[in-house]
Amino acid sequence: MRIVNISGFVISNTALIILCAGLGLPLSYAAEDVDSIMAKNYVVGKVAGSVSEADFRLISSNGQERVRKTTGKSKLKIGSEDKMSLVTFLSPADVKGTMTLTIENSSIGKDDDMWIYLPALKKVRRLVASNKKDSFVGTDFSYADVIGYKINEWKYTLLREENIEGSACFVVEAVPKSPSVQEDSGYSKRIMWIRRDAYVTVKGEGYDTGGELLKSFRFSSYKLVDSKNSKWVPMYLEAENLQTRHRTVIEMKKFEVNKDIPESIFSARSLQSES
Amino acid sequence: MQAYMRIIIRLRWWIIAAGLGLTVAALFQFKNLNIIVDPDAALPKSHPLVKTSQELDRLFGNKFLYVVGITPKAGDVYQREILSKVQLMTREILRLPGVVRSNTNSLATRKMKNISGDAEGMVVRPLMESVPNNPEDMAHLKAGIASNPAYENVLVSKNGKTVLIVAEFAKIPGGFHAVDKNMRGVIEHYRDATVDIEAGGTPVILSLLEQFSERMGILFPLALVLIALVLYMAFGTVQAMVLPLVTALIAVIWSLGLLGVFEQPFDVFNAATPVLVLAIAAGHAVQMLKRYYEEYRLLAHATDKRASSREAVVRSLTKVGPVMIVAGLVAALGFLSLIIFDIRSIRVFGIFTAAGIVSALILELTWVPAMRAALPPPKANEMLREQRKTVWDRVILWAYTLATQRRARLFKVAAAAIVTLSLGGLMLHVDDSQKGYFYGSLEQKRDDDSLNRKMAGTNTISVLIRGDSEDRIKDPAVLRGMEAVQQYLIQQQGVGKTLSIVDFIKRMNQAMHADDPAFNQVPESRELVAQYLLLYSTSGEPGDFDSYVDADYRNAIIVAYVKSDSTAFATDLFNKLQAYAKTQFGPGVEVAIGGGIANTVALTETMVREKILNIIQIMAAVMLVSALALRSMVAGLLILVPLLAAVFVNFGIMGLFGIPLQIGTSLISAMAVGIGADYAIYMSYRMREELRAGGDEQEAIKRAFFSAGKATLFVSSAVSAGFAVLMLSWGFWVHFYLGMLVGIAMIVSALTTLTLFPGLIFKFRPKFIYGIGA
Repeated sequence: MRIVNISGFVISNTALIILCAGLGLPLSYAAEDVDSIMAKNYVVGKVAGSVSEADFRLISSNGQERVRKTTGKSKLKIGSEDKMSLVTFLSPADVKGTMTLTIENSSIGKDDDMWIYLPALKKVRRLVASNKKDSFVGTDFSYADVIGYKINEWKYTLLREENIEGSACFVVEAVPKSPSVQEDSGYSKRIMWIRRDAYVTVKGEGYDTGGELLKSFRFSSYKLVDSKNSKWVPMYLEAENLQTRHRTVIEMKKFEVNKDIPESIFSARSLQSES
Repeated sequence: MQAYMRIIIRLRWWIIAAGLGLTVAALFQFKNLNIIVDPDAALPKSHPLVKTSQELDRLFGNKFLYVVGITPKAGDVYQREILSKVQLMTREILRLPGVVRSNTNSLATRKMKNISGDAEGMVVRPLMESVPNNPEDMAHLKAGIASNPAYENVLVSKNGKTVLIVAEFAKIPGGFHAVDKNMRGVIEHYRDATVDIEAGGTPVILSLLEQFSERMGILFPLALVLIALVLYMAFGTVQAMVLPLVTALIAVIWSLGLLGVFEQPFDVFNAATPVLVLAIAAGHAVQMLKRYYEEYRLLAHATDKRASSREAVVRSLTKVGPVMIVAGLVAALGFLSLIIFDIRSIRVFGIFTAAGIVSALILELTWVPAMRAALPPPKANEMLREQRKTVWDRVILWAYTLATQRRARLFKVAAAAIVTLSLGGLMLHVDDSQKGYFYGSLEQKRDDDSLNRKMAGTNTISVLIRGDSEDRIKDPAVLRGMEAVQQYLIQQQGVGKTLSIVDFIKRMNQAMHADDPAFNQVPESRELVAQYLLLYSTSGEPGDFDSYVDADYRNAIIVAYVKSDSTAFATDLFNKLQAYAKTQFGPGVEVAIGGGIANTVALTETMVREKILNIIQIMAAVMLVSALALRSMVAGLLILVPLLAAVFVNFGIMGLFGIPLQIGTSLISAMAVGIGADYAIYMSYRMREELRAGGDEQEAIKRAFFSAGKATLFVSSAVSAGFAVLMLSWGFWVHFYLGMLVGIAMIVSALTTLTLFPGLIFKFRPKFIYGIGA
């Protein structure tokens, strides 16, 4: 519990909140606008282009673990913060060469695009864009969890501040602005712990449409990958489905900023021809 | 002995206090008593079925499935109101304690997906994301249920009239009774005039079992009251009503306390063993009491009644004490010999009963004479009542006449009985069914039967396919093997449906080929299988197939829904299935059966076999020890007669009346063997004593009948009448059988001791009774 000293009185922050609310006073740390926090949070991980290697560890409720090795490429669309990313599976052998392509479309009224390429079928399959709550290639992250949430579709509230592993964090609640956003994302509420200093998310919770806690997230081992633009990327990402107790850990083995990746590889046609 | 008895009488108050003190101490030991109510704890761990079941539990969940069936009174289930009920009930069930969310299914759970195909390939959507509110959506749901393998007859009945919620539960504090109570809370909340709601499945049955077993708390005291009443009717004295029972109860308390001291667990299979200890201890007590009254009557003319009473205590104990020690040790050693058994439950049965017998001996040699010496002597009217002729005298006279004068007829009847009972024994069948423990008229039983008729079945068995490497299950050859096993299974009587990952993979293959039914088959290559699954996982959730295949696709399971929980049915199915399944897989893939009712099959198989061995061993031990004690092999053989009769009648009647040999009844049969030896030993010694006293042989034998014989009849009729009260436990065959079979075993042991046993003795006139000069 954080202790705040006001005028010689020592008051716990819960008491402080009650006190301020009672007096109609704004809380001092609410000085920073929540929308500004979220805007900074949205761009902090947006790297112009990257090449990466990651291990996806899928851990079942009884502790059985599977590892999928992947490589990834990403790029921001020119002139926007919309991210395009391509993930290729290296192992296990029977899914080697499988690729997924996700393209974010932040402009209003436009859905994100998702494709998967299956080498055994030599077929590219388009995934229905509204299914952003679906699993991202069999992990406990959904496509939306991976692509990111459109800021303008959610209503944010700053709940409080909390220390997470020694770092001061904003605790922000996000609720969908419309039923369709709730339906598409599968969340009736999200709570994020965002570090004050770097605006990166270190912890998250997602509540299902019935209001029950569905998933918890942890992001750590943040790496400053682009110091000029203050871009931070977590090297460790974890999602747990608290209802099925299934867990996914993504560990970045390599992450390099690379602005020179050709935009042309991020297309369905290019997926097909990669084979 | 006499000097010892004087000490007992002098120190009576000390001994009474010490006895009560020890009883209190034993009661305090109850806190150390490790009571194991979980039948799983007694499972034969090395049995292949149990090993597989435990592996299956670890990999795929326990499959304790609570099944709720909702049937609309009008129309089919495809109505908004009905499906809303399913959705709301599912939500509430998912919040209940002990529910295994990942293995709880209904049309409204996230895991239930609709796999379909379109021009581009496979589409995987939740089956019922929200309750359809227009005819198109309803038709779409209906089509999804029909075209996917996992729903028909599992979540919706084939005729569309019943919809199911199937919830898996882990064990919680309060047992399955608590699970059932919570579930019924939800059910009652949603029950209204538009629907019938039925509940079935293993947790319902186990909950009933827990509830009905608790009736023992009322039935046992009631049995004690009845025993006391019958003893009062027999003897006509208050002491007879109270003292033998108090002694027997203290013996039970001591033996339970001893289990605590020696840290031996008391398990659920020994729940009825105190009945045996009680019966044996009461047997000794009544013999002693009967003799005390006989001796007191001889001394009753004296003026100092109290002194006469104490003298009668000394004399009765001097005469009966040694016999009691022999009889008690024979039985105790017989039971103690069970410590060589592998099954802990049988070892505890042996130790506990032996401890009970020794406790009874110690009590009868110390505490009871001290009590009797301290109590006022019997009143004159009590002595009169004790002597009056009752129905018991008539029975004794009948038995005496039969054994002495109508032996030919007796032997003929015995021979006829042996033939009839043997025929019955041949009809005896081994079968355990937890559902079969209950009357068919019980609501829970009716519901479960009804659900079994409407759906694939409320019980399951599982076939484990164990691959030797990761992703082995994705091998099309293995998948085709599984498919063949499923096809074989579904042809078997009583199997309602089978499900495995194969069904889903075939459905995916069809979907990827524009839903052409011709492609509802296992794909050609492992890569194809793997990539279908990966594609599925982009729409599904990671745990969707956790109930069918493990995370690294090394092990898979075929779940068969079956309509019966009978072990005879399952054993037969297992044998056939094992033989067939072995031939369906190449090297590197093993098949094993387990899950669901397999544990009961293993437990029944082991328990019944071991209990029969237990019976044989006790008979052998009793024969040997009594042959040594009476220094005669013939004596050993003859003492066996009442034991054999009890066991023979027990199995014969079970066979004739179609009562299956199962865990419960085999436990009762093992108890039946423990009673007869005592009776025969008391009877032998008394005949020998009376014959040695000289005089007319017929009169001597008659005296033995009306003393030791009558005591035997008293106690056996009292205990039988007492436990007959269990037959009133409405709805529960386990109590009915316990009441009936224990009663029959006691009566048969007593009647054989009074007819066939002396009949054989009079015929062969063995030396151990008649002496060398006979």
